[in-house]
Amino acid sequence: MSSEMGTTGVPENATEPVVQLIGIQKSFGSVSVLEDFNLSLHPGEVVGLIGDNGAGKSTVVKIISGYEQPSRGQIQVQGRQVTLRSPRKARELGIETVYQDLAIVDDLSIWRNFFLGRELRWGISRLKLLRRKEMRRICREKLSEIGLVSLSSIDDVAKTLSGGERQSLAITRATYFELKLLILDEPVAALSVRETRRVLEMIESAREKGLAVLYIDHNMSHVQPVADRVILMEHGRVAQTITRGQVTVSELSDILADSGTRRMK
Amino acid sequence: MMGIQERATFGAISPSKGSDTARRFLRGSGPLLGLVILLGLFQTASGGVFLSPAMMGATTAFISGLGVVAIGVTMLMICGEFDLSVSQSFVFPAITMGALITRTDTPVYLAFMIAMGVAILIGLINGLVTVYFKVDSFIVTLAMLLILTSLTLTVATTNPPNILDVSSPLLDALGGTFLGTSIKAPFIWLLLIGAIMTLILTGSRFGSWTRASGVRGGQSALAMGVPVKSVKIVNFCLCSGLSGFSGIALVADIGLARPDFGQNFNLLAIVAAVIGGVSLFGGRGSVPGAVVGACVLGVLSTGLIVTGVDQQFYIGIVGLVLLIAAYINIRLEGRETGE
Repeated sequence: MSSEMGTTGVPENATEPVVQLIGIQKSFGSVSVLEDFNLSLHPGEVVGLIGDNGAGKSTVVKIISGYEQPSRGQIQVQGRQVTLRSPRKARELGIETVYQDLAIVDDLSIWRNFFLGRELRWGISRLKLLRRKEMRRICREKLSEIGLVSLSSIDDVAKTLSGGERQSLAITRATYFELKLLILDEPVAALSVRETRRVLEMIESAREKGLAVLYIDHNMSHVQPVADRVILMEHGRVAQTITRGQVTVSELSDILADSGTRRMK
Repeated sequence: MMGIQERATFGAISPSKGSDTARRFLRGSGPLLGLVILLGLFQTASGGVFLSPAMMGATTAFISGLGVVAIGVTMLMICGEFDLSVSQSFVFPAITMGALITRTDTPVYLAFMIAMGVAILIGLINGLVTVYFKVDSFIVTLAMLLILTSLTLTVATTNPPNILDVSSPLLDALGGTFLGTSIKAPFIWLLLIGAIMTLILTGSRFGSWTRASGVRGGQSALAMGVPVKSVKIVNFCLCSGLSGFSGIALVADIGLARPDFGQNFNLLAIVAAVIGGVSLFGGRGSVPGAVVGACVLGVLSTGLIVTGVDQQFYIGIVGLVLLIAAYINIRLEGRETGE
């Protein structure tokens, strides 16, 4: 994709957004969920998206990951306008969404999960079989790199993984396939302190590898340690954008308190 | 490594006795073990008659018919759907083929193609209605069962098609004997289809996708880019197509297309699949397991006759076997590997 950019004369640099939502509007029947929503996600940047239930966070996720199509507005992936018809299409374009409870298929083995939807195969035309050996080897390598050593076997069903291990597996998978954008939906909800720390480390390593990360949570304190930029959503719009270092933690709580008061009214 | 509480939230892990290895072995080979015990039991009780060629012939004929159906049902159950109409997708295409050959002079090859087309169409309708109208497959295929029952009786009339006198290399290949041996072709078909479907389920992308589509309504699979709807529809077609093929092979063997062939196969195929270790919640199951399940039911069927047990007890005993198999499966849940 990036080489094609080069030929069209668009300069390739780190600041070009990977995914851009421009003037997105989404309504279900007469209920408007998103109003003129704009968002740019850049490589090597972790963006936190926070807001209360009903603020429109999950609709944003569904639109970027191909579950829902916007009623109006444009989605650009690396500067090119796209229609994200299905999760499969979004995934093909390098957008990986790790849902809190949908990231992993419980009853599949760990290596099958790692390659699900991106299986390596050999064979002729439509008659293809899985490259089991290769997939198992890669999966084992990648998981041992991140220290998932408590696994007894990558042939085990994924339901034997803990919550943190599942998130780690999903994030490792996204970095292995050199994706563009990683969307994390409340990745540390229901995790222990230790597991939370591990997942946050994984997010940072994904950023170092140049992925754009969109981190969705309703809790500021989860997002704040890793996010370069935090977007606060209210009523389907961007209420406030806070850049790292711009405000102190106490100012931050003031902002949140303010928005809380506004919501009360 | 992880705390017990954290682990406990991610799967119903029952208190375990014995090692996981033993349980995995049991999960994989339990049905086979049961089959061997059953064979020994009937062989002894019948005074050595049970394993005679004649009795084995009758048993394998039953197993061949049911086994192919059970393979299709297993695939469908793994992707999280049910098919209660297989007894009719077994018999209706076969009767259609018989009727075409005997009443319209349609060439055998063409009649076979049409019958297979009908069989696959049944699955396509089941699949499309289930997936797009979001009616539970239980209901859709029950409706299909009832509709086809009427159609089958209509096409069969009071004078069911008789193709005994029709000679055709295709009919020989479908239902004749295998290369001059006493082994019937349908049994070879069962082994061949079993091998191919095993390869597909364990060694192909479609197999992985089928399993993924069966877990939690396929939501995770969808998020991972698996075209869940298409996967399910293909499995519906596979299920009805295999049933249709099996019915056609039976009719090619017997030479008569009677509307009561495969009457209980919709339920027996599910029983065979469950004996074979298919999960009722989708995601897991085994093709060889389904074949072994069909063997258990076949051996039971002729075994009871040989040992002089009244026929009416057969279906009741199958019920008991189903309960036992389902209970064992639940006890072993989560103990197997993902492979």
